[in-house]
Amino acid sequence: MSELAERVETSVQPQPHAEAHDHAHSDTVTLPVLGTITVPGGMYTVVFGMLAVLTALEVLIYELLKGADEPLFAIRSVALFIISLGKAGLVVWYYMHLKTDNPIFRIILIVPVIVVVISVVYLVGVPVGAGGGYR
Amino acid sequence: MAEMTAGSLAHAEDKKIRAHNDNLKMALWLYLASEIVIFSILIAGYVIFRFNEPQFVKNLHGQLGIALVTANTFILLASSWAMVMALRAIQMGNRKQFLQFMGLVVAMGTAFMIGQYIEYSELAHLAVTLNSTTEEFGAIGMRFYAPTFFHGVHVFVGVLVGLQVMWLGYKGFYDKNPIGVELFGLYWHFVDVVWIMLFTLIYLI
Repeated sequence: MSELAERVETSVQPQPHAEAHDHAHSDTVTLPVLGTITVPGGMYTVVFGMLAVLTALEVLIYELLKGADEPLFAIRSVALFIISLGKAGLVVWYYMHLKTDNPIFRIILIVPVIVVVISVVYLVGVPVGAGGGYR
Repeated sequence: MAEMTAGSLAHAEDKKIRAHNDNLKMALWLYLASEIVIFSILIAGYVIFRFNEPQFVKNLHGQLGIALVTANTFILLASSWAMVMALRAIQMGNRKQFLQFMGLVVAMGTAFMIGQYIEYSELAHLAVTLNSTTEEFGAIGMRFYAPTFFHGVHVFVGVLVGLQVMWLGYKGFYDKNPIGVELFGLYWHFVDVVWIMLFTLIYLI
């Protein structure tokens, strides 16, 4: 196949980036429970709604279990942390376009997160006062 | 044949621009990766203090409340939405809407900084400063200010760069290739993600 013919053939293939843009520019969104809905801004507005609801839920959990003792305090803390991870995930996946962008960006994000988690677990695990542990 | 050649050349040019854009995005993601490490160190300092001195943190939460910081959180989340809408507008060739949404981003970033200033003023009245050690709050100052102020500096830089992006957009700089808006968007959303984690770890837990 000549180079020109190859180029022409490639040009008619659907471009993933173009598809992603079309999807992002649509006001119509199909959601698991609500079905197909139309809102200005499409998926971006739906994600903002989810972020707002999750933030309100966090504040509600905080207020309801304000003076909680163990083990309820631990459960509350874990629940709040999981919700915040979910919110961060929504922003990274949809607003930062990791869902549709080059997969190598996901690796660039994940590697420092793993290194940091291991480091913090180590720091927390060092006994305070024994050998000058971090305090 | 001439049409095919023109089409294939346009495609080749498009491919080149996309590769260039991907390289720029890769560079920004690498920068954000380094930011993750820096922010994590600052957050870890606070979290370890939280483990070791829970009473001091409880006292601070009791004094501060979460009304102001919750409002600030909603403002930053909304600014992230405005940012992605600005990108969508410029990609669709709607420069007027792009400028409106970018204006919202800059305004909400400024509002966030004002909220943070009010909060810091309240803390100053409680004698929580960088190097203070009080009976009520211990040495929480540096642990609290380091991550939140470092984040605030990022918002400030974001507002300045946002104004520049607005100006360039107004001049038509992004009409052909809006990658500059996308890169700024990545930075702004990252600042939002950091705040999402700070809000939960510092103010709620």
